[in-house]
Amino acid sequence: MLSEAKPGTAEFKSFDGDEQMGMAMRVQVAENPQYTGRYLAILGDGTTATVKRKMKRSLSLNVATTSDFDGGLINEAKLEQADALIYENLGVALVSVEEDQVAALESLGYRIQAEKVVYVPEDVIVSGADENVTWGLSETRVKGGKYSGKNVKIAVLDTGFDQKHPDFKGRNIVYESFVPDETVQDLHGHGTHCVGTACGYTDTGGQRYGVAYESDIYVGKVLNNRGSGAQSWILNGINWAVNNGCKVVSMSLGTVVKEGEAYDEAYESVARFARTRGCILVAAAGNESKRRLQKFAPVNSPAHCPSVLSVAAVDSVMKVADMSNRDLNGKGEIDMAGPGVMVNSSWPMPTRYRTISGTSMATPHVAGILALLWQQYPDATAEQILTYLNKAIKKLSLLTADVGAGFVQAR
Amino acid sequence: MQKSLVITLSDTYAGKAKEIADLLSQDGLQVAQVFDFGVIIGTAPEEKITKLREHKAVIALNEEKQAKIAPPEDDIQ
Repeated sequence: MLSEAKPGTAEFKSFDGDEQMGMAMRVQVAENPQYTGRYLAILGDGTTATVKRKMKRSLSLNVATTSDFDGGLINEAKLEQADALIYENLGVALVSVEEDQVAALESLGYRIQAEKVVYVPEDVIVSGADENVTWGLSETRVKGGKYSGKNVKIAVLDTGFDQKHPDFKGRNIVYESFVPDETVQDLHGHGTHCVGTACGYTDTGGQRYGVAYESDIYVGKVLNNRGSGAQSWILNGINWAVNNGCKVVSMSLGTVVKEGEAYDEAYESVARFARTRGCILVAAAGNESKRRLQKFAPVNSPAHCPSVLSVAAVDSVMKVADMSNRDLNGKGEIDMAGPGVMVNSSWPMPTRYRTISGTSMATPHVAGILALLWQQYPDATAEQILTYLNKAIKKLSLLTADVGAGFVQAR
Repeated sequence: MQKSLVITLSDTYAGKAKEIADLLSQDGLQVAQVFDFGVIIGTAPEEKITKLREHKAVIALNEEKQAKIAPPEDDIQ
């Protein structure tokens, strides 16, 4: 009898067999083997005691049962001394026998299957230090993070989405067009690019370009295929997203405003409404500046609203992007900066991918990162999520009017 | 000439947006949509706008704006 472990512990305590422990249950590992060398016996009818007795009598096996582990974890180390383990609730036994003993097992009335080795598919990239990612995902520390946006709904209000883009096969996507007489199919490209950054995953070369790669995607078409949209379409899109439980609304769009112009009360109202429903609106600061010529344009609407997160663009060496707008009113109209120069993401087929620049590209990085935070803190309020976001921000030696609190970080 | 309008109500009246929309329609607003968060979309002749703006529930009345992005061929988006 084996009863070395104390009763009540999770240790394996009894095989109810003799003390010949010669044949341990070990996985025989070769280079990418298909099978472990062990077998699964489907037991059918019969009590655990009967099965144990039969296996011991016919094949001299030391048989353990799951109840021997007192409900604790069962692992390879604990199985070291057993030849077979009966999973009592499953009607299955894991058996370590030589190949020539399989027939004997079958003669006991059990169906036998070789235990298979399970591998992570080669085309799935596990997030980690050696993950191949775009510069934006690297600099925002999305790379190596453990969150994927799973079960978080992100709305991207834009020119729609290429519904046949192969990178998104199998994803949960909800579509709605708020543009009269146009389907959600993206004939512009901008929407597909933004969806890719916020919610996509990897390209055909294995490089990851999307932040919240397991999020639920809500595509709201609020800009027509020529790239323009009425404010009522956008308000409708936001209302739809909030009422559908989206936690983030990404809007890489805007209306040019004059310096000193007050923020738009209608956008502010819907943004505050969204916050009370646990949804954060993110918008692009706009691209009307030409910094190389010392020309600075004010933050677009709705990004300039106090309750909308406004995103500027920086490049990979943390320099403000030439086109990125500035808070000219001194009212904190830029909240933060994101990766917005030479950003690679999805584009309608057959082009498939495209590298472009702008505050439109920085915005979905922030939206995706917010989805990661919502996954991490599902019971948080919108204000708490914003606090977590702000705590992680990387400070930059740049003007607050240009980059707000700094460069967005996933953690 | 008809103008497309976006009307925002004060917090006090945001919860009564439908009733306010009815009142504004009596002053010449053709209501297209009423949002629970206190915004009304509609159209009205230009000469009615001053009266609509003076309503005590209205904190902002603007002509509907258009958002625009760059054409697809641009590298700056």
